[in-house]
Amino acid sequence: MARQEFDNSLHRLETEIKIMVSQVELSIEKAMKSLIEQDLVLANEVIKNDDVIDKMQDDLEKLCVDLIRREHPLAGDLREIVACMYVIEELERIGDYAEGIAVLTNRMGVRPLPTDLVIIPQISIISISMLKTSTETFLLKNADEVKNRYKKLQKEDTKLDKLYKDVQEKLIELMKRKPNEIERATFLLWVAHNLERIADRSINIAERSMFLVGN
Amino acid sequence: MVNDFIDEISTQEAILKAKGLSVFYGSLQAVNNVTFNIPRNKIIALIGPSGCGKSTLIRCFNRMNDLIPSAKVEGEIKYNDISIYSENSNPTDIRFKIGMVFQKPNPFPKSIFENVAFGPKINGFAKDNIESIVESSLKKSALWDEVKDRLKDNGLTLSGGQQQRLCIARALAVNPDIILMDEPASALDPVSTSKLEDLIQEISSNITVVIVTHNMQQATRICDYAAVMMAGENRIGELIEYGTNDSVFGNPKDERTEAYVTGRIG
Repeated sequence: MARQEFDNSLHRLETEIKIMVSQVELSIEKAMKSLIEQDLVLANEVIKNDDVIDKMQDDLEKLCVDLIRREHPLAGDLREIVACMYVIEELERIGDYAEGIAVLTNRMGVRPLPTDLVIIPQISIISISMLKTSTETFLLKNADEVKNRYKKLQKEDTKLDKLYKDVQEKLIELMKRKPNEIERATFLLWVAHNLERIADRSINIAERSMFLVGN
Repeated sequence: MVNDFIDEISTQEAILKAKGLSVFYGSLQAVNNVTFNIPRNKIIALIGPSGCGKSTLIRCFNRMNDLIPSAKVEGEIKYNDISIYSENSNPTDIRFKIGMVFQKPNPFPKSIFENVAFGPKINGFAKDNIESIVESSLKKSALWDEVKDRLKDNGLTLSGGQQQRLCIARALAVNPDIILMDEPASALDPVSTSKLEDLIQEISSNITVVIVTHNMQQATRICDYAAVMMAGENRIGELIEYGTNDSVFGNPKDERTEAYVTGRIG
């Protein structure tokens, strides 16, 4: 088969993206654990780890640009590299949201939280699941399966948006009842916002999968 | 599948129509049953692996295959609704309206001026007009500024890129409707290639260009439509896909086209 080196490079790009995905997922999980357990050491670990994700983005973008420069890709190859560049950027932003949750955990400190976190971990479970589905879909490259999963993700996103609205109402209610907790309740709102944005970025990744398979 | 693309493109006015075109060299069939329309004043790239029949096909469009004794053409090619293979058609007349530029520049061993003036002279253009035709043809082929002070020099003294543009000026001088180009840039350096590509795009405002090229990036840069040919195990070339630049090079429908344009076969 011709273009073996190019195919090897595309395979390497996919593998590196898988590694980046696992790093980003781990960051979100650790950020949520640090929030729930008020573990500031873990939160600082997440913040520090964001540099690793940023470096992955730089390296992978360089690989993509290098492949375009050297290989002059067309058709499916070009779509794959362009889609990868978009996905790499989405993953980096998702990493930033995880870092943001860890920063907020730090700012809330170790005092008992002003409210229970029932809905926020629920949102995080959906967000992480959406990220897993979208990245798996991206790497699948099967047009029918991509369409099915994209529809499924849209439904999940609607469910998540409703939970996000519930959290907003609950926290605003808390602020009215306990004005001295306005600051920390606002931080929790931001946490929920970051999780909602992770879900939106996961939808973006699924859209890149649609582009990749030619839709 | 090919018919779908023809439907898409056939909404435009066609200047050339090939229908059921097959070409044989003696008992060997080179091209099988090609049907497609070429829209007026567009650039059409003819692409495909070596030996798939691209050059054979393009040479049918102005009856250049007539020069090969064993060549036999079946099917029909219509140029503006004139069947070019009918008994009434004169190959010389057809070649004035459907010019050709080859892979290797082939200027006549005559002066630059005479190279361009040759066609108009034998075609009976008024003598008074010849000078202005030469000038305008050399201007259209973006060569005028480089040769205006040396029109009496032999055409063979020009560089390869200049010689190729001289051949295009020669083809333009007889006011063609179509220019066929068979790998016109394959022997040129990058700057000459770039000039040639600019020129092709410039002339396509009122001339249809059909170009055979092995350079996918070149085809992507300049063509409006691309026709993909491929030979199967029987080594007979067929048209497997015909569509817009965006479609063929961005999201081809046929797996063989995808494999060819991404460099995995060919």
